[in-house]
Amino acid sequence: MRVKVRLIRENRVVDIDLPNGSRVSDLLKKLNLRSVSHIVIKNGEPIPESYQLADGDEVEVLPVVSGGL
Amino acid sequence: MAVKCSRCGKPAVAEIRYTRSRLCREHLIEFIERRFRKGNEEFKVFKNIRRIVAAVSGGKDSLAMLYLLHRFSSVYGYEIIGLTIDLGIDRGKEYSTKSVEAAVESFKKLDIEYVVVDLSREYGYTIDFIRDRGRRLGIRRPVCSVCGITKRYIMNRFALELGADAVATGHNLNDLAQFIFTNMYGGHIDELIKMYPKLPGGNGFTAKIKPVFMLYEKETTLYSILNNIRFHHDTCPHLENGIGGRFQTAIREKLEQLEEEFPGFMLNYVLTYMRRIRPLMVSGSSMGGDGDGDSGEKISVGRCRICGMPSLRDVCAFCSIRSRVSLKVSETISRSRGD
Ligand SMILES: [Zn+2]
Ligand SMILES: [Zn+2]
Repeated sequence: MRVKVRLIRENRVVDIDLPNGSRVSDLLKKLNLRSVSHIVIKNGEPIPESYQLADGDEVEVLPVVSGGL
Repeated sequence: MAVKCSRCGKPAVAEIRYTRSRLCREHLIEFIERRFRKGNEEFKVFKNIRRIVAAVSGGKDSLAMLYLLHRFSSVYGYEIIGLTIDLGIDRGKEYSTKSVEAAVESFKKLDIEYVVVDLSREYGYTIDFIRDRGRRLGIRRPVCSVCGITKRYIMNRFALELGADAVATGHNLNDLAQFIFTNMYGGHIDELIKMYPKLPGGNGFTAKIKPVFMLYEKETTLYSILNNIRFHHDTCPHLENGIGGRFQTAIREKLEQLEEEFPGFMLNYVLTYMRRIRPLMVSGSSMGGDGDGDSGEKISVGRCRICGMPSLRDVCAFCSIRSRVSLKVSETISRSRGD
């Protein structure tokens, strides 16, 4: 299956191929991102690591790291 | 496919691994607010505090802090004055402009009285200017250090002028874990002791509080998102190697790795330090550690010859920066508080 991912900080959209039944945690692993420092958002609402994604899903990934202030 | 909330069965928005729960929007907000209250009550953060200056940068931590402070102001009986500083950082990103806009938007939305301090207009320089010309003007400190001195000075000075009992900053659990680790590593005992939810004031210093010290960075972000808080999520353009440089960034990442592997690691690390280690340190140190806000900072300090604010030297660090960038020092003298 294929998921469309918008990386908010980089302002870039990428298509990610994942095995069917993959979860948000699998997506983050594939992107090489840690779940303690990223939030995945779907339709404006955050979704947990165990959320099961479906083909054609569109999600956003927001890093939680401080802006430095 | 949605995951269900462990409490009510509605769709979960997040998984809190260290409590092994998945929570819906409503129960996550409740969980975060309860932790905010529990942490601040344990360390008596709001005891004897009637007026708080909330230092808001426009990022998610300080904005989440502002909303939480506002939400529980009548419970703990304090009033809030917002403070945000236009540091003059642009670099083609309008970094400061956007940060100040986000802060002001929330002050207005919550109907909180606020002050915007424009560094350039008030004090004659910007952080970009220090980056570009600082060395030539004889300022040897790195730009992030000048920025830190500037912010701390302005926060303290305005808090005193506004008659506040405390300045609140948005340091989160990840920040504290990192600072505790690196200060312990470096043996910086005086800095290490400051890693606490409340530092008493006195002697020309306002008390300092960190009301979101018990919230993970991810939790302040989730709280901001769930409350529809518009925050500025760019990184400072002067931050080339992360907060505090390469070493600090590496420590922060290792701590995150440990958190990922052992959920709750940072929380235990910070609380163990605050509950069991720090109390043993303060008994032998110069700074009062009861956190009640009435014992005063026990280091005896002199006053800056130029601005009258507390300083270990004849001229404080802030005025010595100013004297190198601006000739308008006489203005400072006329504005000084004279206490
Ligand atoms: Zn629920
Ligand atoms: Zn001074």
